[in-house]
Amino acid sequence: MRFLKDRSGAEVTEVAVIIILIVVAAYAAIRAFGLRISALFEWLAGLF
Amino acid sequence: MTAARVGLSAWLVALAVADVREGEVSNWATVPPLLIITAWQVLIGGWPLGLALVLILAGSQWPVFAVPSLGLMALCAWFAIPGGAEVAVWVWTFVYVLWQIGVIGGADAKVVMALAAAFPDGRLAWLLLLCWFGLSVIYLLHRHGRRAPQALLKATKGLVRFQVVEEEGERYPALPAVALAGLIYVWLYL
Repeated sequence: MRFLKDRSGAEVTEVAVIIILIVVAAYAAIRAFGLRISALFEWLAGLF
Repeated sequence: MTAARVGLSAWLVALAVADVREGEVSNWATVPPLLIITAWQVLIGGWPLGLALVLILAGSQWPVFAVPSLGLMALCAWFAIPGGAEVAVWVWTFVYVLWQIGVIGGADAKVVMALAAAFPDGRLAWLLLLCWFGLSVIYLLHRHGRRAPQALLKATKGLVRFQVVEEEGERYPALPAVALAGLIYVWLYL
């Protein structure tokens, strides 16, 4: 199992900062539109 | 309860120290906790977490299954809502995506997943994000100083082209941020 065998530790990079900022901005946008994350997952689950 | 807190704290500190010293963590310190906590969650009714772990393992093993497994994990999150474990599935999905694109390592991913499965609490998820962000900002300022905004812009341009710009120089391990978030949660909220 590739995932279980991978023992490497990550390094902090600029990419991490960008990803965190994107996640926080997305969360803020979702909440600003009065939605819940659960509702988003329900919608996603409905696609499959 | 105090013994559990101390044990958990010792585990987190040992992981952080191993990552700082060697840049990797033995699978003996990460895989058994993840499997045991997931099995325990399945036994108490959190079967969507068990299914999510199977999907992650399958998606990591067979690249063709990587994207479908993400969609199926969204389904797992939906099934996990009644049991209150949906936060853990969100965190797992996020971590799985980051691992697939090479932003975090396998050791970090498994530790975060074990913590999220043990404590499916939104406060822990935010603490993990906050500590990771804090460490990242310290790293940015330490490595680039006043040129941090330019470095961020350069990395953003690389990301838009699906390229992760690798910097040479001193290592900044991420597991201490995970350990710090876990320690804060264990001692403040548990």
